[in-house]
Amino acid sequence: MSRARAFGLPLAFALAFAPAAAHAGRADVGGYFRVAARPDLQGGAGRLGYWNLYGRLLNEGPYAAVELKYDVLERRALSADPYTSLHLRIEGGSVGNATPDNGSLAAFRMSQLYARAGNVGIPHTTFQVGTLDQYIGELGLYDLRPAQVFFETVGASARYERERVDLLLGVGDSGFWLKRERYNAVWTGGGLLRVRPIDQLELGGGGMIRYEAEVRGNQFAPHDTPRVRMDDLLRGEVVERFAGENPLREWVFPDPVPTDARSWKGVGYVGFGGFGPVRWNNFFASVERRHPQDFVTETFQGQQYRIYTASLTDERTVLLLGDEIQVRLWPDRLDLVWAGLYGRHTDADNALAPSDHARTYRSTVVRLQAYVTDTVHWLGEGSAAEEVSTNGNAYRQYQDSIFRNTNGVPDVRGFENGDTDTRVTFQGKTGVVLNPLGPGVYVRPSLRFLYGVQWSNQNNAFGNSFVETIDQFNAFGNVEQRLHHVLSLETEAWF
Amino acid sequence: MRRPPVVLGLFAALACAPKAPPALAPARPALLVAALEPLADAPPRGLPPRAEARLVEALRGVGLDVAPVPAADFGPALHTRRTPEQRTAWLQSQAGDGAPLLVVVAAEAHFYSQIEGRLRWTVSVELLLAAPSASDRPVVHHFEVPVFLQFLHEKEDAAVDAAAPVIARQVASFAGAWSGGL
Repeated sequence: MSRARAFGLPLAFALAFAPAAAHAGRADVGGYFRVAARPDLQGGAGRLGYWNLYGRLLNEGPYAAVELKYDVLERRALSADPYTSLHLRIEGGSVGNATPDNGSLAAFRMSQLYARAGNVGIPHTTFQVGTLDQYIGELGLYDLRPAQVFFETVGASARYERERVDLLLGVGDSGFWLKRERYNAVWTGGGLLRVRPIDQLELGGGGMIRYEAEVRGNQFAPHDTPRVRMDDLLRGEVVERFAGENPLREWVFPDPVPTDARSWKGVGYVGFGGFGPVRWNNFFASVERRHPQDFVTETFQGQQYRIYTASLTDERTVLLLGDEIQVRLWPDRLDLVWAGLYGRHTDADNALAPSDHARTYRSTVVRLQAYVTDTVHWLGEGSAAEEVSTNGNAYRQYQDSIFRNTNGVPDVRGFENGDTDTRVTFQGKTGVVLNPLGPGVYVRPSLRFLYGVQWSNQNNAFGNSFVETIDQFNAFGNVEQRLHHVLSLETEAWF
Repeated sequence: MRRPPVVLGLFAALACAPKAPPALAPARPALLVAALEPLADAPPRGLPPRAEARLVEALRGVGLDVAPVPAADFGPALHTRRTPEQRTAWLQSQAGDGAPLLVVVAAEAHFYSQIEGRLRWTVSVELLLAAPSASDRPVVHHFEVPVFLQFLHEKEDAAVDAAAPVIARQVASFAGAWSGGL
C-alpha cells in the first residue's frame, strides 16, 4: 500500500470525525437531571420521607437543569489573553410521567443568566455580571450548600484566583428573589475567601449583608403596623382585635410606619484530606439572619387590611453546621461517605407557635458503596434524624392526635399542631447501582435500582393524599402507619 | 445463464472469508507526548501520572507500544510551537533518523460553571498523530470531555484525571485505527 494511500484513509477518518477545535462563538451545553419511578403500596407520593434531612437519596423528586455557555472569546491555553463567556441556565422539578405536573415548562425558570470575563484589566481576575450564585462545596449526601452566598442576588462580582487563594467580592440587589412581585431594592454586598496553606488543608469564610432602605410612600418598602400582638398575628385576628378595642373607630386602622430592614449571612469552611484513606472532609458552618417579611393580609367584615410585619419577623436566625467525610475503605472496592448536620432555627419574635423558624434538628447519614465490578456496584445507606419544635407540638403521632394534645386537652384556641414536639426518623436504602464511568460514590451517571424503608414516630411521615380529618363523615377513614417502603428505579447524571 | 449465481457466490464467499489481521504498528515504540496545557502564559507540563499511565496502557491495548517523553523535554518547545505542523516538525527533528510514530496528546481544562453542587469542567484534547517521515502531514483529532469535580481546590490536573478514562479510550480507538492502516 502506498504511503499516500495509507495516510489518506486515516486523514479522511480524522476529518470526518473531528469536531472543530475550541473557537470564539462556540456554544456548549451542560446540565444535570434526576428522574425516578418510586412506586409504593402505601399511598406515598414518590418519596421515602419528607425531606433531605434523611439523605437526599429517595427523598428528592425529579429535577432537571440545563446550562448554555457561549464563548464570545474562548479562554486559550498557554496564554493570558482576555476571555469572555455568556451563561444561561434553566432548571425546574417537572418531568413528564414522573411528577404531578407532567413536565410542564411552567415549573421551570431561568435561574442563572450572566456574562463572565477574565484577564480584562486585572490579571487572574474574573468579572461576572448578572446572577451571582456562588458556594464553597456542598454536603453531597444532603444536597445542601451551607457556604453559599449571593444565591438570591443579581449584580456584579470579581473573583481573584490563584493556586492557593481565591477571593470573591460582589455587590448587587436581592429584591426580586426575596420580595418577588412586591419588589423593593435590597442592596447586597459580601464576599468569600478561600485559602489553601498546604495541600491537605483548606480554610474559607465570608458572608453578605442585605439592606432594604426605608422608602416613604412605597407600599412594598418595609413598614410596621403599630401595636400588633404576635398571637393576634398568628391567629389572623389583628383587625378583629383592633375593631373590638375601638368599636366606634374601626375604620381608622393604624397606618403603617416606614422603617428599614437588614439581614445578613456568615459562612465558614474547613476542608482537609488527601492523606491515608481520607479523600476529603468538608466542614461547613453558616449563620443567617433572615430578611424580614413585608406584610400579611387579613379580611374583616368584607374588607382587606394589610398588616406590615417588618419588626415582627426581623429576628429569625438559622444556624447550620454540617460535615461530610469521604473515605476509601478498600481502594477500588469499598468507599464510605459519612455526613452529619445540625440546624437551629430561632425566632425571637415568636415564642408561641411552632413554625419552621423555631426548631432544631440533627441528622447523620452514612453511605457505603462496594464495587462488585468497575461498573456494577452495591449501595447501602442509613440515616437517623431528630427534629424538635421549639414552640410546642408540631407533629402527629396518631391519627386521633387532637385527643392526645398537651395534658390530654384539645388545644382549640392554641397554636399546637399534633401531639408531639419531636419527630424521629430512621431510613435504610440498598440496591444495585450501574456506573458506566467506573467506581466512585459521586461518579455519574448512575442507574440505580433501590429499595428504601423508613420508620418515623410521625404518622404517615411522607407525602401522601390521606384524608386526615377524624370527622365522623370522613368516608375514607384514617390510617396509622410508621413504616414506609419504596422501590426506586432512578437515574442521576451531570452532563 | 449460469454466470451471475457463480459471481454472487464468489462475492458471498469473499464477504464471509476471515479478514486479514490489522497491520501491526512498527516495532520501535512510538514517541508519546502527553501534555497538559495550562490556562496561563506558561509551558505545558505533563499529564497527571495516573492519566498518563492510563493512556499508555490504552495505547498498548491496541498494539501501539509507546515511550512517553518527559515533560521537561517537551515543555518549552511546545510552549512556542502551537500548530500541529510546528510540533510535528520539532518532534521529528528530535527523534532523528528512523523516527518512530509520533503521538501527541495535548489537553487543556476549562472551568465551565457550578451546576447543582458540582464544578463542571470541559477538557479539550488535541490528538496529533504523525508518521515517521517529515514529508507527511500530521493527522489531528479534537474532542472534548465534560467532567464534574466536587471541590474548588480541584483544578486542571483533577479535571484531566477525571477525564482520563474517556481520553484514553478515545485516543486508543483513534490511534489504533490510524496505525492499523500503516
